[in-house]
Amino acid sequence: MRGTWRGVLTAVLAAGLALCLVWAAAGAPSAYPTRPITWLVAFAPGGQSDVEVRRVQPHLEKLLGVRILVEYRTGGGGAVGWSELARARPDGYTVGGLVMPHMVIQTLLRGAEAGYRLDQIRSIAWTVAAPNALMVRKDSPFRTLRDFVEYAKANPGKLAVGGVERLSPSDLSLAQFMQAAGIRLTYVPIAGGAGPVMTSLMGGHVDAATTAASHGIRYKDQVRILAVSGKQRLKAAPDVPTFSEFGYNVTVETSWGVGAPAGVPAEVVTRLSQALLQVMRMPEIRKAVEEEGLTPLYYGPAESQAYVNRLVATYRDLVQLLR
Amino acid sequence: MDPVLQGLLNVLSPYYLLLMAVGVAVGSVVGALPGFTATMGLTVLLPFTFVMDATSALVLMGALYGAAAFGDAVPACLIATPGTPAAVATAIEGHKLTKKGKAHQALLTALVASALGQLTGGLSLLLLAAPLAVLSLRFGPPEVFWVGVFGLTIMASLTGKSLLKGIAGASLGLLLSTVGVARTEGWVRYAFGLPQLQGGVELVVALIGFFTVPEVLRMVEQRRKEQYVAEYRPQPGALREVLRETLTRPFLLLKASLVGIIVGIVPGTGGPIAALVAYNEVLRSSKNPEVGKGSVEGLIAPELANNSVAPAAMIPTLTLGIPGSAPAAVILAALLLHGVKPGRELFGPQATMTYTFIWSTLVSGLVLFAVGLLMVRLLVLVIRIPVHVLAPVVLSLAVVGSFAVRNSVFDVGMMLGFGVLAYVLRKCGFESGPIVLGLLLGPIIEPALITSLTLAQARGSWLEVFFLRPFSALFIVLSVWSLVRGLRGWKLAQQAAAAAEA
Repeated sequence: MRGTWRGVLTAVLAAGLALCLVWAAAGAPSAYPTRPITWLVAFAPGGQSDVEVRRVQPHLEKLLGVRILVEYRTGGGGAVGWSELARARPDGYTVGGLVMPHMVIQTLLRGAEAGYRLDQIRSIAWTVAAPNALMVRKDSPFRTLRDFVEYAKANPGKLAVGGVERLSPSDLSLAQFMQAAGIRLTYVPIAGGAGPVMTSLMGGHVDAATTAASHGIRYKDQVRILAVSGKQRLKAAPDVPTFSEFGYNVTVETSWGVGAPAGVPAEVVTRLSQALLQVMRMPEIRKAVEEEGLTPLYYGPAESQAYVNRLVATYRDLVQLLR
Repeated sequence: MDPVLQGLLNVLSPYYLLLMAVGVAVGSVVGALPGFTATMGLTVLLPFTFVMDATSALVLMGALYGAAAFGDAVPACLIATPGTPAAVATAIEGHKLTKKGKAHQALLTALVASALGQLTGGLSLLLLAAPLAVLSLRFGPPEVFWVGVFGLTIMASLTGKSLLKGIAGASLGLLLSTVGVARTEGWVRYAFGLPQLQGGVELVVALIGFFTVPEVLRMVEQRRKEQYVAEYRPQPGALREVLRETLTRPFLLLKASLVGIIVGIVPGTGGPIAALVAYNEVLRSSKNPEVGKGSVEGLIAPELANNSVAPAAMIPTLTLGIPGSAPAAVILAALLLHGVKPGRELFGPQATMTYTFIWSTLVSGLVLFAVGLLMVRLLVLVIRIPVHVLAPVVLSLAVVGSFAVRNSVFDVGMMLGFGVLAYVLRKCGFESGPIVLGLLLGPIIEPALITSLTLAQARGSWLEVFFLRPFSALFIVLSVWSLVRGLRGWKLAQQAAAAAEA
C-alpha cells in the first residue's frame, strides 16, 4: 500500500515540475510566439492582400515555429478589417495585412466613420509595392505616352480610362497624371478589382486602363504599358519608361505591409519584422515578387512609420485635388 | 505524349482519384452547411496545397468547387435552407418535392443533375475554352448591366399571388444591396454611423435570415397540426425513376447547361444567377403541371445549371487569368502562388497540367455521383428527425453559419432581424424569393450601370453604349421577352387558380 502512495506522489511531483517548466518557458520574454498568430486580411480571398500573406505564410511559420491563421474580414474597402485590427488585443497574436493608400484614404474620406484611426495601428513592416501603370491594348494606335497625351490634348475628355473604383490608386494616379500633363481624360470606375478592369481593356470597352503594373505584365501578350509610376523602371519590364522620364510627376503606388494594434510590445514588433524581412530577402521570394512586376520593400518598424507619415501627407493633398 | 491524352491518363490514376474523392467529400459538406461556401472551403484548403504540386492543388480545389454546388442542394431540399446562394431555386422546388414525401427523389435529382452539370461544364472547358474566352471578353460593363436586368425579369416566376408584392420585394432587395460602401464610388450609404454596416449586407447572412428562420418558425408553428413533411419511406425505385425523368429530357439538359456555361464565363456573375435563370426557363417552357409545385423536372434545371457554372467559370480563369466567380479567384491565387501564370503558358509548356485539371472536372462529376449516392442514403434520414430536435439544430446552424461568414456577431443579429422580417412579410404575402433576387442582382447591376454611364459620357452617346452593342441588344430583347412571357404565364396561373376556386 505504502509503495503505491509513494508512486502516486512521485508522479504528481514529476507532473507538477513538468508543468512549472512549461510555464517558465511560456513566461520567458524571448519565447514569443508560443501560439498561433491570427492574420487578418481586409480584402477578399484571392486578392493581392491574400496573395501577399500566402506568399510568406509557409516560411514565416517555419521561422516563428507557430501557425499563421489567415482570416478574412472584408468590406468597406478595407475599413471592416482595419477597424477590427485596431480594436484587437495588442499582444502580437492578432496582426493584419495593411494596404496603402487605401488605409489613408478611408480615414481621409470618412473620418470617424471609417472605424479606425491611423494611430491605432502600428506598422510592423512594409514588404511589397506595386507601381501604377497606364496601359493600352496591343492593337491600340497609341504606341507611346507621347501619342496618348497628344490625342488627349486634341480631344479633351474623349478617352475613357478604366480603373479600380473611385479614390483608389487608379483614380489618384490618373489625377496626378492629368494634372502634370495638363490633359483631361474620362476616368471610368470599375467595380470588383483589377480583373474586370483588365477584361474591360482587353475587350475594348475602355481605351486605356490604369492599375497596378503587375497586371499589365501578367497580360503582356495583350496589352502595352505606356508608362509606370515611381522613380525606377521595373525589373520585369525594363523597356517601359516611367512617367517621370517624360517630366510628369506620378508617384502613386499600391503597397502591402503588416501591422498590429497600437500598444503591441516592442519585442513583438522587432521579432515579427525581422522574421518578415528575412523571408522577403529569400532569393526565391525576391525573384517571384520581381517577376510579377512588383517591387520588394524592406521597411522595418522605423522606416515603416516614416513611410506611412509620408504617404498621409501626399494623399491628403491628392484627395483635396479630386474633391 | 499528347498533353490531352496524358492528362486523361493522369486523372485515372488512383492518386488523383483519391484527391478528387477528398475534394468531393469536403466540398459536399461545405456546400451543405448554410453559411459556408465553396470560397470558404477553398481558402481553408489553400495552405494545404502549398505542400502539393500545382496539378494536385488544382485537381483537389476543382473537385471541391464542383461538389459544393451539389452539397448546397441538400439542406435546400430537406429544410428549405439554401446551403449557398446558388441553391435558392432548389430551396423552392426541391423542398416542395420533399414535402410530398419524395425527399429521396429530390436529393437524387440534385445529385444526378449536379453530376451531369459537372460533365457538360467540363466538356465546354475541354472543347470550347478558346472561343468561349473570346466571347467572355465581349461582356463589358454595359452587357453585364443588361444580364443583370435580364435576371430581374425572372422575378415574376418567384413571386406569389400578388405581382405588385413581388415587385415591392425585389425593390426592397435592391435597396438592401446598397447598404455600405458603394462599390464604384466609395460613398457610405445607409450605414447610420455603424462600422459594421460599412461592409454592407452579406448575401449569405441575408439568405439564412430570409429562408432558414421563417422555415424554422413555420416548422414549430405547424408542429401540432401535422407532421413537418409527408411521411418518408425508403423508395427502392427512386434512382431509376430520377434517371428516367432526367435522361429523357435532352433538350432541357442542353438548355440548362447552356445557361450555366454562358453565365459561368460572364465575369462577375455566377451560380446563383445561372440556377435562377434556368429555373425560370423550365417554369416557363414546361407543360408539366407539377413543375413549380415540386417536381423532378423543375429541380433538374437549376441544379444542372449551377454545376455547369463551376467548370465554365474556370475558362476565363485559365485562359485569361480572370476569375469567372469568387471560388475561381481563390483557385487562381493558388495557381499564382505555385508560380503558374495563366494564359499562354498554361496551354503551352504546362499543358499537361491544364488538361489533367480539365479532365478532372469531368471525372470528378462521376466521383461526385458515386460519393453522393452513399451520402444521400444517410442524409435523407434527416427529415425523420422530430421537429423538437430539428428546429433548434437548424437554428443553431443558422447562427453558426451567419457568424462564420465574417466572424461577426453583428451579422448574427442582422440574420435574426431579417428572419423575423421575412416571417412577418411572408404572412402578408411577400415571398422571400424576389427579395433575395434583388439582393443578389443589386451588386451586379448597380456598378455596371455606373461604369456604363461614365463610359457613355466619354463616348458622347448613350444610345451607342447602352443599346447598340450586339450582346446588349440580345439581352434587351431577352429581357423584354422574358418579362412579357412571365407576366402572361403569371396571369394564366392566376386565372386557373381562380377557376379552380370557383
